[in-house]
Amino acid sequence: MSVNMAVSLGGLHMKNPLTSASGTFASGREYAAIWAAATGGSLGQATATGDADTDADSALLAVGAGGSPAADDTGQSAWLPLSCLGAVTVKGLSLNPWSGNNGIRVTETASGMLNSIGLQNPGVEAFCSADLPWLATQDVPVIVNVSGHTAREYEAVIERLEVEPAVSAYELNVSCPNVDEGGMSFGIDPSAAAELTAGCRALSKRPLIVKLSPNVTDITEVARAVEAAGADAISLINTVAGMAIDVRSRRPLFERAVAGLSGPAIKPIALWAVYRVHQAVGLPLLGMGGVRDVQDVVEFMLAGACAVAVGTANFSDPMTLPRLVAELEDWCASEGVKDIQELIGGVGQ
Amino acid sequence: MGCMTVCSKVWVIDNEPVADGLWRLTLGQLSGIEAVRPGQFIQLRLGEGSEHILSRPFAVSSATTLTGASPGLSVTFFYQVVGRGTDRLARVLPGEFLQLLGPLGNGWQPPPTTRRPLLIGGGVGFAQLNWYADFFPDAEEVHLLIGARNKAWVHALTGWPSLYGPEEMHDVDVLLTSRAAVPTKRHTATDNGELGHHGTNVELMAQLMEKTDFDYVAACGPLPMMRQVARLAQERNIYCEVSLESHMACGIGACMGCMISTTAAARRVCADGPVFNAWEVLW
Ligand SMILES: Cc1cc2nc3c(=O)[nH]c(=O)nc-3n(C[C@H](O)[C@H](O)[C@H](O)COP(=O)(O)OP(=O)(O)OC[C@H]3O[C@@H](n4cnc5c(N)ncnc54)[C@H](O)[C@@H]3O)c2cc1C
Ligand SMILES: Cc1cc2nc3c(=O)[nH]c(=O)nc-3n(C[C@H](O)[C@H](O)[C@H](O)COP(=O)(O)O)c2cc1C
Repeated sequence: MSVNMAVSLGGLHMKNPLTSASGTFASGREYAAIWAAATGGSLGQATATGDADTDADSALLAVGAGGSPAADDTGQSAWLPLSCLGAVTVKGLSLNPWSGNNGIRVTETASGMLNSIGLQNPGVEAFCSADLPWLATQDVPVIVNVSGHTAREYEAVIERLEVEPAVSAYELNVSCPNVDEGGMSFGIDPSAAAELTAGCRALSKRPLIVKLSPNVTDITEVARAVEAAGADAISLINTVAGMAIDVRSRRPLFERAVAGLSGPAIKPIALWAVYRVHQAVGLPLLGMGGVRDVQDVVEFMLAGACAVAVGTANFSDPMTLPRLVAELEDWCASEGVKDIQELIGGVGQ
Repeated sequence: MGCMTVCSKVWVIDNEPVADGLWRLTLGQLSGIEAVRPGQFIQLRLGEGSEHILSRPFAVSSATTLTGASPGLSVTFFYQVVGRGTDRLARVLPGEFLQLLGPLGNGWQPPPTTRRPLLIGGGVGFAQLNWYADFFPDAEEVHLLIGARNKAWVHALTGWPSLYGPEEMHDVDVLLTSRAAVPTKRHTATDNGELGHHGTNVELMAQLMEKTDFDYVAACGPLPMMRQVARLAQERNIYCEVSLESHMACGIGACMGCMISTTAAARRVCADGPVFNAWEVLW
């Protein structure tokens, strides 16, 4: 049975609902290389280790089935690994380069991780010259995650990207707990979030996604505010504020004390947020938070997500995304789902 | 770029304690991986499920090519049990499968003209240097220096005891012939004085530098040790490489989790390192 896997996220056409979560995937090159290696002869041999390798096997199939062929330098056809995705969401970009936070930046927690990267990025200009030309050849929609210290900086990033045809959509990060100015300060205040959204809306006709923080009393309030301000879609959730302590030094493990929790540990929080926001607004949602298997993807869609992003699970297993692309279609076929959009918001009362 | 990084499941040939708090792990049939260089590392997933969602980085301490019925690369690691993840790893049994991502990182890059390298390791950081010592076919002599807490650690990490005569010889230069037919001199320091110099490997390094004109130093061990080694080397204008550690998530250069500061820029330990020119590291 063939399944229609395509969805539209606020005007962004995605051939399937899966994308990367910003900041866990850079611009995709590193993962593309590993996915490509998996489709080469080498993984074919590696799978010879036997039954234990079913993950790699299905991932191999996934990339083979989902990726697009393209001619390489030698004229032979090569696979474009990222093209198996509905979209690629790249690392948060700011107008000027940001150096990120000092000290330890990541650590594992029970079924999750804390990060305090601090939105390190080379700035929008470097992205346009170093990564975008490559992304433009990968046959996949590109969602650019945008950050700024001020509303003006967010706008400047969008102005710069408007002239780049390879950019498909914007995701405004108003929810990062790891920077002092900007970031989450916009996302926890409905009127500030609305103002920022309206300002960016005026600059672009491209799909505008606003990414919300769970670190608020009522996430639906912020969701309604950005909907009214002209957002095309909402993504949620960004990381949950948390901390870790080094018992030997008796100091916070992270220099800023606070860090962002992600991974399976936050999935129930994320699912609840998606469910509530879906009931509160009419916008399509990009759900994320702890997704690692097909059941997670389907749960997010049933709760109301139109598309689903995978972040931390890429670190656990770099083959997660291509595997999920294949397994999601298999799941739909075996459950008799003809069009994946049937799932969106399909949870009963 | 070197060898392709592959994610695959590999089986545990052996996983056993070799000294107090120190374990040796041997993994087999990495048939997707063609070659590993000294200084490179791998990311090892600690079991299935979502208890441990981040892999742990470990330096490869040696690699051998298996032939016969199940050919492929076999790699060995030494690890110290320091927290929840390594404690979990210590409970993995031979025959189990683990997810491995690798090879990762740049590896050592000694100047091709190196004649008298000093390879100095502290604790488990020494594990890969024995192997690395085989990679100087054109050197006059290779010096290996281990600093460890006690005799059991030195024996476990070096495999030297069987090659030695009387134990006292640990503090004199012992001339031996390595596989590459380059004379290798081996030096030992222990914290408790059970073997070799009673004190730190850095103290012993300072003594050795009075006698030998090293033209390259490679250091792997605790950060304070590497910082001191780097300073000693720089004082004498000797090119020095260090293998750094940092908390990391992706291991492939995507997440910006493992940055360190260098004179040039902030660099990723996983993808730009873990081996760095010691002079460029902002200690
Ligand atoms: C390139 C590289 C090579 C390494 N090679 C070896 C080796 O050969 N043998 C060995 O014993 N150890 C090695 N380490 C250190 C080893 O990765 C850590 O000891 C291990 O991750 C600790 O995990 P844990 O869960 O037991 O400790 P916990 O302290 O409970 O870990 C909590 C978190 O902190 C991280 N973490 C803690 N200490 C370190 C550290 N020193 N480096 C990086 N991450 C850390 C863990 O990955 C985890 O995410 C290496 C580290 C790096 C970066
Ligand atoms: C290392 C790391 C870096 C991140 N960087 C960004 C970022 O630059 N912009 C952003 O909007 N979200 C960022 N996030 C949040 C993720 O995109 C995602 O919202 C969150 O991690 C929850 O999903 P997950 O549990 O699947 O990781 C980052 C998360 C991690 C773990």
